[in-house]
Amino acid sequence: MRTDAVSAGARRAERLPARPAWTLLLYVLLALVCLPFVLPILWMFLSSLKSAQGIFGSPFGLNVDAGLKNFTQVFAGYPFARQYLNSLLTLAISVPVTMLLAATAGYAFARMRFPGRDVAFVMTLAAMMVPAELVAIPQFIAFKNLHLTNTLVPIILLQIFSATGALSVFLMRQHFITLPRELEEAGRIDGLGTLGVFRYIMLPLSRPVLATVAIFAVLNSWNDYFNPLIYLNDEAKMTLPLALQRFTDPLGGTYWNLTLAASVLVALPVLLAFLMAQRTFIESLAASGTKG
Amino acid sequence: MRHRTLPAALTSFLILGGSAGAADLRFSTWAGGDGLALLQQLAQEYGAKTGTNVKVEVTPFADYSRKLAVQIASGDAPDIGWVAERDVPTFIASNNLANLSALGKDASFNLNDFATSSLALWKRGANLYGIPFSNSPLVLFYNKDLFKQAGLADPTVQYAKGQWNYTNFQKAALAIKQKTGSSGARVMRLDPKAWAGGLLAVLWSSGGGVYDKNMKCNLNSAGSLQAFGLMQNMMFKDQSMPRPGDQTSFDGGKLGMYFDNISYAGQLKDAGFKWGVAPLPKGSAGRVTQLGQAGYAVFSKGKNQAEAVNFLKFLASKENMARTAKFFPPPRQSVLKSSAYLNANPAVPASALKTALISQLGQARVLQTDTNWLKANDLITGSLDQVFQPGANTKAILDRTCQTVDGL
Amino acid sequence: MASHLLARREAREGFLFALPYLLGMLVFVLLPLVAVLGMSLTGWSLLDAPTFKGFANYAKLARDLEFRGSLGVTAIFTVGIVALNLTVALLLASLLNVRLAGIAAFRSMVFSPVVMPIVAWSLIWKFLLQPQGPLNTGLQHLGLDANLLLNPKTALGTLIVIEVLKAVGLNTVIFLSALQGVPPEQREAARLDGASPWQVYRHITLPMISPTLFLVFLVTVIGALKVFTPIWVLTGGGPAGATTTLIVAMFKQGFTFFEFGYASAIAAVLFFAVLLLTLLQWRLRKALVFYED
Repeated sequence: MRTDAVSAGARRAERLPARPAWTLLLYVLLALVCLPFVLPILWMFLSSLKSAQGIFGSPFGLNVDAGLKNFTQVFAGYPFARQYLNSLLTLAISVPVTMLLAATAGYAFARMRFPGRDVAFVMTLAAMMVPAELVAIPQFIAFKNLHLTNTLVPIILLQIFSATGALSVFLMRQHFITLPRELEEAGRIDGLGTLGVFRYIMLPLSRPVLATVAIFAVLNSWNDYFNPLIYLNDEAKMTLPLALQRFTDPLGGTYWNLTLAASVLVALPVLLAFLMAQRTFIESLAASGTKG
Repeated sequence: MRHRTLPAALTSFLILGGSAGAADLRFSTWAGGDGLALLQQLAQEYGAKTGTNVKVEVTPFADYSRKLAVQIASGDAPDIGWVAERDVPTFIASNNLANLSALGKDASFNLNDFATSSLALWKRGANLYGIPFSNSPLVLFYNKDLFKQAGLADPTVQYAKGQWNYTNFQKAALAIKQKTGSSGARVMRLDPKAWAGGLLAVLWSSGGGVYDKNMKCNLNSAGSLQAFGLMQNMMFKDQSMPRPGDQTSFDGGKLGMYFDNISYAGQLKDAGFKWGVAPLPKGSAGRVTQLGQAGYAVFSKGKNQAEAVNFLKFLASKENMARTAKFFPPPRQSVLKSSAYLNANPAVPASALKTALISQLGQARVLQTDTNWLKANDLITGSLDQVFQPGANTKAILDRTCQTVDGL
Repeated sequence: MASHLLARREAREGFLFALPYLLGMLVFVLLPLVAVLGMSLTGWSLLDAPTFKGFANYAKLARDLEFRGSLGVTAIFTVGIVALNLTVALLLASLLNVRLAGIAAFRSMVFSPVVMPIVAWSLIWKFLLQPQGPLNTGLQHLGLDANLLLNPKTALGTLIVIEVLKAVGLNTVIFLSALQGVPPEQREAARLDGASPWQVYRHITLPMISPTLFLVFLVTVIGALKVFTPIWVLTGGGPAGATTTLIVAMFKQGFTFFEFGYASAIAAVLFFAVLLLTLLQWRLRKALVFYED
């Protein structure tokens, strides 16, 4: 079942069609199908080079009348660089911790019997469904009493333990129950303890699922709007989704040209990361031979 | 060494965000850009003067009152802050705004400098729950280029001749549509949820409105129906008015006329066309424009009320309101009529400002609402979605709406 | 005796493994959730002190037309999203599962809406869906009187399509990786036995990826029930309530009208409905999933 000679071949995708005419047809088909997906982001890139007048005057025109002016203004007039750093930091802490805690808890749920396990698992399923808006007030009171409001700490902790965390635990558990028990027994015969089996046998076999968990965690952390809204009061402490709402005139009217330029800067790194990692990601998922 | 300093630096970054310092007073606002910079500057000056450290906290406008409510509910209310017009009745009714009526006796503050009408929204009996910093009547922005192309007399010219009424407004819009292909006029904002800004002036000018004097729903009165009829004609018969959902905005240059507050002029800095401001047209019940307000208020659940009142006096003083007037039309008469204010905006000449803004303040109205406003507003938003559809049975829809609104 | 000791050790270790996550979940999610269930028994406007009202909020729910409407909207929205998202994701994944120069670019294109900030995403759709914008005029040329996002009859369906377009890239990638785990030898063997491509897909490929299908199904159902911001910024629940799902209704009551006690009651209904649904799916998975321990 594992990565042996047979499934090494399995990593390959459907073979290339034989005739060039078919290949061409396939390209045309792919292009047509991808069009509705890629047009919005192309529009965003284009519009970020326009003035507000240009965006609203001819929303689908090619008149890039602002050049890079919007981008310079985003950095010159607003603490955008600092906000970028805040988002990166939040991500850099919350994503690995989510992965680690989800892996250990998922392993315990899948493979170890302990009192209250099933209740705890149902509670995890429940936690997946709790919308952030719903529990905001009791959470806020708790963090206020800990003197942690207006810091990134609640943002990070809520990423790790709320819906994203629960989803991650769930994905990890579903993965671990599919791994054969013989692997653990072999490890124990080699003298590994529980921690050793987890660290040296189970985790290395979990890279694809961890990659899935990472994708969810990165996207959720990068796009989190509600909790930062509730907890952060200073512009310099805000994370990016909140920052995107702050390109306004004195009374709150949106400067769309700046908002779109900033949106490009928010989307671009994630898109590039995907473009670079997609091959590794997709193939590593397939390579493990996990059935899920 | 490195191992010890890195976590320490990280902790301070996370927890303190780099800037430490205890705040004596927390001031909450949704101001953006230069407006925020000015408020921060004022807070600093106040600190230098009194030794009271004021911290300015910001929240995006769309979610401002939500955040404030969460803070109040959690016992973490700021001391002082901005309050938006739509939230005033709710915040007063729930006893969250401190009574500032003592300001009336403070000679140095000179509350008499504020027109009585500008304080109506903030008063309950003899009590006063806030001081407006922005008192902004709707004005008409018009695209001079489009008027010229359509061979029309400018609204200011028609106004001077006493001919600037809704009939000629409709005609001008139609002419622009037919002769230039651009849209003629837009009354409401781009966001259908912000319908009150714009629509109310049309309703009031034809004798209608949201509420009558007894706070009963008035949307289905003859005056209101006349106003809705005019707008429906312009939208669906003349096609000279963009329908709700349409994104044609004035600064894009393809719209002849637009109702908005004077602060909108700030978005027209780089406009590629000539524009002007004029008074709104006159309707069968007069030329009634709408006052949009926002104010400073002291939160009664804040921890430092006395000091907060002092800071409010500082912000709303004549000197400082003259500074904030750069962004927000000042409710203080002395500031409004000062030549410094009238000449502050190079894009709008003083004479235009006088005609379009100051001369209209006498007939300007603030939307008086009651505690159920947030719900009523939502209901009305929903029914306007139906009213502004082609062939809508306006009377039937609004009869039902009024029944529900009155039943709240 | 020894097995008893082993079991105790396993229990202790299992508990320790799960503890860090469980502790955090307990403190940051479950206790607040219990508090919210308590709030649903109060009249609380957020702005003043809560008063105990027993089950009055729940009684009011039964009479609330907007709430009752939102149940139907939620059902249509959820079923629509799940059906469309899974179908499109599976089709896209099958299409993108080819070896072709530049396929990474196509995969990234499908994924690109996922990374687009919602403010930018909603702005382009507002332009595209203007009453006289490109999409509606296009349909008008076909003889339809279309105002997709502002007509109560078409708004919900339009919203479903837009949301699937935004989110389907993520499921596509997950399906794609599952498809790549299907050994081609099995498919080729079946083809040699005379199976048609559809039969191979139906009887070999689909069963092989059924655990992934089930996981994605579950996650998508939960995600659909929690979709909030895209609805809020595009329609705000309108026109005329046509897109007010349960979560939009809850948000409006709690954070627009500040009726937090009442909002908590809506949330409680939503929460238990989802929990019930999830447990049901959990039961059904044995029937749906081809192989699992």
